[in-house]
Amino acid sequence: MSDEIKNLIQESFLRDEAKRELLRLLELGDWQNFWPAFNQSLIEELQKRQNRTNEVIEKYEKELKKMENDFVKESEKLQNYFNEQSLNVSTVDLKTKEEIWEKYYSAREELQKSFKQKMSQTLQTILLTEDARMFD
Amino acid sequence: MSKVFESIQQGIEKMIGRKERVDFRNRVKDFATRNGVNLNLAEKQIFKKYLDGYSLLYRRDGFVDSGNKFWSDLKGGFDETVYPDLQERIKQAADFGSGHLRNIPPQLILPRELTQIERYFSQKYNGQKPENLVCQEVAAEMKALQYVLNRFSVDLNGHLHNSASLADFLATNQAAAADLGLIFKLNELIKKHEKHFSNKLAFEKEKENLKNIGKEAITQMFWQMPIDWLTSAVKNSWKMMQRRELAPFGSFVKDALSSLGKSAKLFGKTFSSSIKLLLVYFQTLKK
Repeated sequence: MSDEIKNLIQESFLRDEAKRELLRLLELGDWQNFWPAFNQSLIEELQKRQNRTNEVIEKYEKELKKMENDFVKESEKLQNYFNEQSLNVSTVDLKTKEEIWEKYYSAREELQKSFKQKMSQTLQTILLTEDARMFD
Repeated sequence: MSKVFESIQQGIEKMIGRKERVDFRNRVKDFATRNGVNLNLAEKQIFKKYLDGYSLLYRRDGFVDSGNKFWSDLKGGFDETVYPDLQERIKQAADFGSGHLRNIPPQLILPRELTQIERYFSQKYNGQKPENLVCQEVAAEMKALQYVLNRFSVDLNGHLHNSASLADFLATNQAAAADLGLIFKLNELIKKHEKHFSNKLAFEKEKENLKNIGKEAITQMFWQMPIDWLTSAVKNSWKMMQRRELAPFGSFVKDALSSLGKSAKLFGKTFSSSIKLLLVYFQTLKK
């Protein structure tokens, strides 16, 4: 049984420090202290992960909120520019109207595309940074 | 032409997407027979009825869906009676600078009219409506369309009872022909606004999906390893239980599962199946 438990500890998601202490207790055959220490380490690590998950999701949401605010501002700028462009177009000049609207929609779709790219980049950055910090 | 042959021919036409043309032709014939008038006069009457139908809808709802059956009926009547060369001339007459366009007075949009447009989008798209800029434009185009359609109807009224065909009427009245071209063009524009609005909604939906995918990826990054490990630990417990070595091992599994279960509840569905699996194992272990 000891070997199986040793393997479990070594393969676990616990921090190195905790693993070392558990392996020491296991070597000593100190079962009385081993199981409470194992439980405690496990629960502490899960709690840490829960806290980190909440923090990182909060950070991700903050980044998205900021990006969405920028997106709204850019959209408003685009609308204002479009309003100026369409002011002097005759009501029967549908061709010019159509061209202006196509430009507007095309610019808006570019904004959307860029937003999606930024979203994806933000997520990648967060995942890479946090993955590297996982065992800090 | 025998009735059987005509019926087969109409069936084929419907199959190749000309149902509205067949319907128009049948309505014209039916009108001519019932009223004892010639086909030229009947086709103008039916075309006029289509236009009146649009006006009725517009007066009732303040908006006519750009995909409404009216449009396919009107296009069917148009294609059935107006030969391709004249269709092209009508399209050109509707171009700005063609010299045939009559003015459309600037359309002042009343708050009630704007509300009707917003309500249309809201009802059709689950409470969503385009930005004010687009609603204003659609309202203006819709109003311009109604204005031009009325003007065209009045022109057509003046020629309803002469023997000229609808095509003759359009060929000799270029201002009216330009109006008909404008009617189709305005509907195309309205349809495009709706299509772009629909694209915008698709973007919003995709944005929400991406947000959730991001949260799931973050959750997975922190929780996949503990879940994999615990699954493996519980499996090992099962083996040890079979070898009667379970007693000291069971308590940490219980605590770990309890802790993990509480934590995982925060993260929705992603890990629920893994947690359920673990709990089932644990229940089995306790027995």
